[in-house]
Amino acid sequence: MKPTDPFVLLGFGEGGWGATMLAGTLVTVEIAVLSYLVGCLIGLVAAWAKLRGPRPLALAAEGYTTVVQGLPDILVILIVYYGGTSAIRDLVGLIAPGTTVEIDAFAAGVASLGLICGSYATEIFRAAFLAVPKGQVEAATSLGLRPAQLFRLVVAPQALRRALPPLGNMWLVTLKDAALVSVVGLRDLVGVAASGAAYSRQPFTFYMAVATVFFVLSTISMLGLAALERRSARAGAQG
Amino acid sequence: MDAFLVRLATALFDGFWVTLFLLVTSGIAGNLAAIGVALARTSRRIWLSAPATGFILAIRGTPLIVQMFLIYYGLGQFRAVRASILWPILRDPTWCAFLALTISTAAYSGEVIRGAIQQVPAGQVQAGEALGLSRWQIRRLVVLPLALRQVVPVLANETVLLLKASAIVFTITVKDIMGEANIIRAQTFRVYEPLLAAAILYLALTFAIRRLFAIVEKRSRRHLDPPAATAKGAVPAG
Repeated sequence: MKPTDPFVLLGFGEGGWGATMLAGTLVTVEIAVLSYLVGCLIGLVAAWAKLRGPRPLALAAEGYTTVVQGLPDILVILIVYYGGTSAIRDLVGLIAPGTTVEIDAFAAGVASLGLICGSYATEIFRAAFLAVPKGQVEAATSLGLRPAQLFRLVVAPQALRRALPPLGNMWLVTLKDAALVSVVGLRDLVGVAASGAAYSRQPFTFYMAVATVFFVLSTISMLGLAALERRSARAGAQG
Repeated sequence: MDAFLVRLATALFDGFWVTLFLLVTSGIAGNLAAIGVALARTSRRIWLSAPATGFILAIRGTPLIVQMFLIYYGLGQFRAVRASILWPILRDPTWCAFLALTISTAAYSGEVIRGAIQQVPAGQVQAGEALGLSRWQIRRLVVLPLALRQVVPVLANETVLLLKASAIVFTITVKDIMGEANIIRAQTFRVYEPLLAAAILYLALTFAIRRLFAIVEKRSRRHLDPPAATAKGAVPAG
């Protein structure tokens, strides 16, 4: 007889899925954090391409944000996972026929979520850099700052302060997007819960647990972001 | 055209109608519910505002795919649900997808409308009070029309987001665009064609939604345009 009591089922005792669910949570958080960092990196580069880059690069960045933002997130994940696997397999097949390649679902998940996140980050950084008044750059130049100093000491701090609230929002979106990667067979929180639900025939219990974990993570993030914004506002009042 | 492309085109055409059906029905139902959520959220009565706040926090704090799994896979766990008259609806994946998308839209759009309601100038409310309107009349006749007009430009974005969100319904076996493309991918082992065709279809839909809302927005602002010269001399030359 399999247990049906949610506390036994989700506990850490015998027949409990607590430890497995915890491991799944860790995978989900790892994917969310890594994709967020990848997204920020892509966003910085693409924002630079749009604002200062040579024309072909600017066009490429424009195409990237338009296409990725027009596609469902789950389709981007499937394209990166299956399309990426196929493309690499075809390439390897050309070079060394007979070898088989398997793309790591974790890497595909991070890559696809990073691409999605990056398309939003591009717009955030672009808007933030545009919002820095021109006079600031002129003042810094007339003070004799070199371009690197100008960026590090004048432009970046002001742009970052402006970008902070939307970047926080983007984190909340990325965290929830991480729930989608189970479609490529990853053992993340949702994937683990699906196994648990199938095994115990108690899907409500398992998915409710997943929802609770996400809710707690979102709430903690929101509180943390609010504190961060208060801090950055205080620094603004001083300067 | 070879058989594969014909099959792909017919499948995606079927899926297109499912996606469109979900988008239109849950878009309308969700946004109507959102008005109620926003009104409750901004109410002075705590027994109205507290549940609405909790609803918005819970829905926005959890992934849509998990909410949909809870409705489709989860509710069947309870014998009372399986015995109820709602079971034919809750057993059907398309209705469950509709339900999940509607609830999600109600929460996200509800927050947008709440913001618009709070942006309505206090003078408008005071003017309504001075006219002797009751509090409910002020909300219905003064605040809501002004707030909803502010929401129209945002609605295009919300609808695109809903379209993109609707692509997850294939995980509960609904055969929308994404579902049909994924079935063909799995059955034929041809990866590029189905996924890229689906991508093009979604991009076209996104574009169509933006165009449609641009037209609607232009029409809704027609009274703000400078008057057109319908008769000679009606508008002073200048």
